[in-house]
Amino acid sequence: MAQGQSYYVPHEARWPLVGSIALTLMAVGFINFLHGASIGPFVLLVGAALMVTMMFGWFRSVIIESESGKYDAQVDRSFRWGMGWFIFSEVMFFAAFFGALYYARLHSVPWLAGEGNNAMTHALLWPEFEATWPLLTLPASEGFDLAKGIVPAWGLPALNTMILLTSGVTITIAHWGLLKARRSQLILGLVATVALGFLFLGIQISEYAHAWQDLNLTLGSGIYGSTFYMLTGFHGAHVTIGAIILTVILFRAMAGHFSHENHFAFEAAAWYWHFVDVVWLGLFVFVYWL
Amino acid sequence: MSIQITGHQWKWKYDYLDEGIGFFSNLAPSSREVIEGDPRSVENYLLEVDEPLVVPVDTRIRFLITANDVIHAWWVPDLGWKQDAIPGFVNDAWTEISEPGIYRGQCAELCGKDHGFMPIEVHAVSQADYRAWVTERQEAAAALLASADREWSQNELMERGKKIYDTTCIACHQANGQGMPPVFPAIAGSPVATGPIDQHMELVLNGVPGSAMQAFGPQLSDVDVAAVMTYQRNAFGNDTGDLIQPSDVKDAR
Amino acid sequence: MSTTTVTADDLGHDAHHDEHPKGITRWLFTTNHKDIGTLYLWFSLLMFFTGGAMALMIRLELFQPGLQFVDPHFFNQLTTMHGLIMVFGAVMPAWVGLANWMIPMMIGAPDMALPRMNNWSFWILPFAFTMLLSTWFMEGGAPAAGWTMYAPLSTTFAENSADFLIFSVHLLGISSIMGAINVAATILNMRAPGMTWLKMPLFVWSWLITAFLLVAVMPVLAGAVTMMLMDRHFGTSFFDAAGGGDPVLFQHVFWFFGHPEVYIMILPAFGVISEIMPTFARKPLFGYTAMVYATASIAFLSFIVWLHHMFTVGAPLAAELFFMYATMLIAVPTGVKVFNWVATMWRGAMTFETPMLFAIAFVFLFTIGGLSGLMLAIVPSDMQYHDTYFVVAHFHYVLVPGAVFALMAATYYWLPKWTGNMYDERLGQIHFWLSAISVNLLFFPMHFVGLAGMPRRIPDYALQFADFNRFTSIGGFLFGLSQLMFVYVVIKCVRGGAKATDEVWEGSHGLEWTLSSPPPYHSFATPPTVK
Ligand code: HEA
Ligand code: HEA
Ligand code: HEC
Ligand code: CUA
Ligand SMILES: [Cu+2]
Repeated sequence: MAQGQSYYVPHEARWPLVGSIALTLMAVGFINFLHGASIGPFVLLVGAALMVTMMFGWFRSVIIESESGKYDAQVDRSFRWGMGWFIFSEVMFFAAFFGALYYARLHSVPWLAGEGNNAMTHALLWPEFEATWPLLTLPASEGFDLAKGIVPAWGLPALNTMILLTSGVTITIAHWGLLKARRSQLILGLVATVALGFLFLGIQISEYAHAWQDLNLTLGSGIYGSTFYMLTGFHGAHVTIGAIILTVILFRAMAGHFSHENHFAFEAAAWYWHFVDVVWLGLFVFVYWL
Repeated sequence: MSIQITGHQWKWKYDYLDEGIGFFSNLAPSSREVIEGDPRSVENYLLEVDEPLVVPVDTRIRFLITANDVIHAWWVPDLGWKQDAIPGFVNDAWTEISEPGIYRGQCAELCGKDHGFMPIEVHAVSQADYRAWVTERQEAAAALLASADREWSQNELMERGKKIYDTTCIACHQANGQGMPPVFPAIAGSPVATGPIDQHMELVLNGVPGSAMQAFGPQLSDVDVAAVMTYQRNAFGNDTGDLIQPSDVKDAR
Repeated sequence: MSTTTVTADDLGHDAHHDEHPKGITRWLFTTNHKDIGTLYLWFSLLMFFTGGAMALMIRLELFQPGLQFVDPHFFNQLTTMHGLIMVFGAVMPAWVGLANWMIPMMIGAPDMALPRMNNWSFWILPFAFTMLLSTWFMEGGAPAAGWTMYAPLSTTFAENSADFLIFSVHLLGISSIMGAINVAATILNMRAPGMTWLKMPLFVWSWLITAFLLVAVMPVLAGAVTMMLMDRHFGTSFFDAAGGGDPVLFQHVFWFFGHPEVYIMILPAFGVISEIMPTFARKPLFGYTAMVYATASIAFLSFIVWLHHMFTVGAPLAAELFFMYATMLIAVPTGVKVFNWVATMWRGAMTFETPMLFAIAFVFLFTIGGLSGLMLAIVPSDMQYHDTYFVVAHFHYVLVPGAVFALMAATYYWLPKWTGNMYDERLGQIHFWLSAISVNLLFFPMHFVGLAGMPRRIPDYALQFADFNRFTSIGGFLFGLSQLMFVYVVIKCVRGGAKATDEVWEGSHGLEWTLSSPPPYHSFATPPTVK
């Protein structure tokens, strides 16, 4: 019970308000873009720029406070709880989309083809329709981009699985380096993780290009395309965020930040990375493979 | 017997699958006229329709319930259930009515502006009366089909057109043809209803995708389309003097 | 549990408690849990009146048959916005505000665990609601598909304002999730030494569980509205059968959020009642541990009952039965709570100050709402009751004399602590009686019109419903006017009045009463020790 240790409460916070303004501008800009107003993209960009500024500013204050020793063990625990609950909320966000996939595959598509007590749905409304998964022929074809095929699991997706799993190992190696005060191991581990992260993204992008252009598999290809792109797309967005976070952590590690007992930011990034990894495993199994 | 019930914004369509009869059922004009007036002056305010669903007693009836646009729900309290009408899916429910009489109900799922104005009226009649009604219906349908080939007079078209307008179009374009801008445009002075006939025809037959203006081609007969267009082009001070014949509609389809 | 000394460090100032920034920037930039709590509470009151004004317009139109004041499309906008604003703008922020004010004081902490984020949680709200309310002035008007925004009425068939709804829901979700994370981290990490799990005040317990619910379901709502957005603008077919989707999928996702959401609005109320009852009965709470477990059971069950909102969509029979029984099970833990409150009062030395009056009314009137909920849970009955005013009666009983009365009780209970002044007891009692009588006049007849077959969300009705609707409308106006009195009492108390003691109430118990009234700017600079 060291004397003078204190729970740090910042004096005032200016960045949150900036963040709120940025979020609002982004939302309003995006809506106007959707409605075809020419001002939309501009407002969206201003909002996004403000958002980036806010992140820089906010994290900068936190890093300065952390490095100047204002945070005690209790503050550190608050951060840990906060990050843990945040990741839980992300899990639930993905759960909504996995739920939609489950519902489409096991309920709505078979029902449209007459399963359960839905014989009349099939007979009256969609007499031609047959349930298959992946769903390439839809109940109605008008107004949809009919896909010619899907991305097979055991090609690029399997490779991507290997890449992400490996990156889970490299970040653990980096963590060991940090715990054992081996800075070069920390940095090399992080470099490898970041590289694998961006490699994953590159492969994902080429896979998308192939699917969209060659296979005509788009968001408008019915429920298969909808769930495929929503799940992999949100996952890809999370990988991007995670890779950016890890890059920041890498630069901080190179600048000499973190000690073996005070490195919450590193661990938070690692937790986040593992979370992204686990989501991918779910995707690989339920979206690509089964 | 099986009756397909299809919810539309904001009316019900009943198709007797075994008899080949099908018709729309709208809020009765008697109710609609007094909504902003004195509702207490009419009987069964908001619970009466222009064309009730007629069914025989002591017969097991299967209802196949679906919708054309948004979700509705078909509900007659005395039948003991309500069932959502979901676009793209068919829900079924059944009943067997033993007491002849009139059973009333309402749409029970928010379906847009006139959700409160799409009532249900079921007439349960004896089996003999039901047969008679079916025959009458089938004959009337045949007669209408036949009449599509002849020339219709201005008066005939206007009269029938007003009837169609007052049941089918009135919910959006209003009794005085003023609509409810900006969402529902006026017919009075409308550039479409006073402009080229083929564009007007195209709009009525195929609707405006992505708006509440549905395609009336599949809903209305040639005679009805001709009549309602003639009415729109000559009522509300539009006075174009145009006459549209059922045969014109047939050609345009 | 923490063993470090916890002292507030007000950077730049020496840790002198009553010094804080002045003017508008105090509120814009504050990291102080009490300031943020105050912001939340005033904001919620403002939204209560905004949503209430819409409710009164609804009641005005429904006063008699026929359309007199608004057109049907506008009516749907009123209903939709009333529901959204009351739920997301009035009740939820009010509970977060109370959590901010009370939890650090109840667990012996200097502030919330993540003070900067706390500021952000609040300051998203005014922006989100400005965005939502601005839709009133748009072409085509505000969202009109109900607060449940069922597809495809909210997607293919909606006005442009639906996009503003979608993004304001995203913002509200971000705000709620951050608020909940903060509460959870505070409770898990900031308790004073000695405050073990089963010594935590029940308000704190119920908020911990509420925070869990929030973090679990707000992202699901975000997912639901995201799918809406995609269907509207990017050609997906989540809710379109023609592409293999299903409009009902939206309802599943929405209600997976929606049912826990209703407990998010009521669990903190349970906590408040459990604080107030012992104080005015001058007896410890009956069955503390059972209360904790009951709350946790309700939260758990809330995840497996969502289909009870969708009994008429045509789900398989086995599913309907499962969800029916799961729903009915919730009556058991809730019953435990109700009976424990009654047992707490049993043979207590009771006095009936305003907070206690509201708390007792809560127990009775919430139970009425709970029992009608149970009737709704029965599948064949719900085939009749669903989407009628009976449902409207049910949820207003649990929400208005339920959640809102509990909020009023909490306000009267802690107002002297917050301001240092006693509120005007006589006016408080008048406010209570006016509210309690008019709220029943307002909502009780809704049961009758519902059972008689009046659908909800209609701007006009058949003649047989006229009489009861007239009573309801009169009750609505009386109830609305009575709330002006509440505002008056609160403002009067903030501005002055008889000084309150630190304990405020004779039977008060708990750490918050050991602080001065009003409490210091930073609650517990040094942590108290809980025996
Ligand atoms: C605070 C909010 C709140 C709360 C606490 C509840 C609590 C409950 N609700 Fe309610 N509900 C809503 C808010 C809430 N609800 C809302 C907003 C809607 C409508 C949404 C919309 O469509 O817009 C709704 C709709 C709704 C429906 C759907 C109706 C329909 O649309 O057809 C159903 C059906 O099962 C239901 C059931 C219940 C049940 C069983 C409880 C139970 O938790 C109640 C338990 C309590 C008790 C039973 C009383 C106390 C117990 C005792 C005294 C013990 C003795 C009693 C027995 C053992 C029987 N609710
Ligand atoms: C916590 C939530 C909450 C609260 C507190 C309330 C409070 C009230 N509600 Fe609401 N209600 C809902 C949640 C809530 N409601 C929901 C979720 C729906 C479903 C929406 C949907 O179907 O989508 C609903 C639907 C609903 C309907 C059904 C509408 C329909 O189906 O078409 C009605 C009808 O009477 C109604 C009435 C009222 C009334 C009279 C109050 C009163 O308690 C309000 C009290 C009034 C005031 C507090 C106003 C005070 C103001 C003044 C005195 C003047 C103000 C002046 C200025 C602002 C300048 N509500
Ligand atoms: C459910 C609501 C609804 C009903 C019922 C309806 N309409 Fe419309 N109508 C609309 C809407 C909405 C538009 C505007 C479409 C657009 O341009 O976006 C419209 C536009 C029109 C127009 C063009 C007006 C103009 O000036 O742009 C005509 C003509 C018309 N409708 C005819 C009819 C006829 C004939 C009927 C009945 C047989 C009918 N409508 C029934 C909603 C409706
Ligand atoms: Cu159709 Cu409501
Ligand atoms: Cu529920």
